[in-house]
Amino acid sequence: MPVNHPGSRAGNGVALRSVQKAVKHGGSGSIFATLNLTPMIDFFTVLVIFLIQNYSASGELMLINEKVAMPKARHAVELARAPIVQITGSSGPNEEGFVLFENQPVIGIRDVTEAKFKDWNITPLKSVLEKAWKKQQAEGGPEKNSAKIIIQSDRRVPFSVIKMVMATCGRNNYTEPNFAIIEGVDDNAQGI
Amino acid sequence: MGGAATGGGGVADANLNLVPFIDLLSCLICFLLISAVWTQMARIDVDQALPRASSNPKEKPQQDDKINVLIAKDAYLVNISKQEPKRIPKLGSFTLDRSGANEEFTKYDRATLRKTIEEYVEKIGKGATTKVVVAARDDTSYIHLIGALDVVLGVCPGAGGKECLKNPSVGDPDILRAEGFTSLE
Repeated sequence: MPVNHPGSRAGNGVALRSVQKAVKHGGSGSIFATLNLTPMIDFFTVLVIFLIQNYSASGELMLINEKVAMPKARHAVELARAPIVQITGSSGPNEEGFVLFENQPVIGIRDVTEAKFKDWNITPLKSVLEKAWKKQQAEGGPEKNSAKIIIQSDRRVPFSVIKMVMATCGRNNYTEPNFAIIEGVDDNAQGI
Repeated sequence: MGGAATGGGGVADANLNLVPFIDLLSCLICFLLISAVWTQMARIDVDQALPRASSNPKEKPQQDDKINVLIAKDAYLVNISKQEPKRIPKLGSFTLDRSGANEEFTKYDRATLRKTIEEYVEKIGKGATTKVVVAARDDTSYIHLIGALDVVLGVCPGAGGKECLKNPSVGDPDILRAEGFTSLE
């Protein structure tokens, strides 16, 4: 059996038939296929436009506390910067919910009762609100006399706590409460 | 163009280098995806109608043409001042997930509440300026308060359905006792 010159081979790792053919048989066509970039650029452009349209900076105004499961609502307005009172829920019988002001714990919600604060003025919250109001006055600017305050509460928190927090805010210059919600519909919405 | 017009030997079609453009788009997409806020937060503006919410309580003028909504334990109670409240019973219950565990809530009839408010708004005839007071019992969960407020804010009687009710008041049942809510259940 004569020994033949092996010639050029594409090898098993090359899957493209056209490449194998070109290498084995010395085809005249180019082994480089051109990639059409137009659809890719179109896709990228549409994606960029979509992302820019949906870009929202309001999420940075407020952080969602992991212990606050906010309720959903459809008919709301855009969030604006204001002091935030958070009310966390208790995820278990041994865990207590807290009232926080700007992420700093103020009082446990078990202590927020009419029996303890007969005039609905929660003393620890009152003192932090007074400080915040003084700071707001000292800083000046367009928000100097803004009476807005955001109440960000867990969906399970009872109204007895909400109303006392609202009353305390109202008694300490923050007379315009805003309830923070997540835009959307919950299972009780019934398409409303 | 210049090449073609002067008959020069250069190529008429200039090649646009797409690589920097693709790089820019890729970076922009990465930035937008990383910095995007997927949870859209918003706010509901309300007025306070709590008897002890002000250190200087002012005498508020009596408003006989407002709609009162009470979130009772198993129903909505709705009336116009001092009339017999209409009772809208609950529909059952629904569950929401929290970290793998289910939380059960009362399912109120929001569709009927909306229809009732729309009827009352039409009856009062003040359109989008109609005042609505939403009150809740002490044990009412916050989700139900927001649910009722959402229904109120979704009623749009003014300007051919373009102007909606604004700033509902939030209060406790005490303020409704004089409004015909003798029974709060």
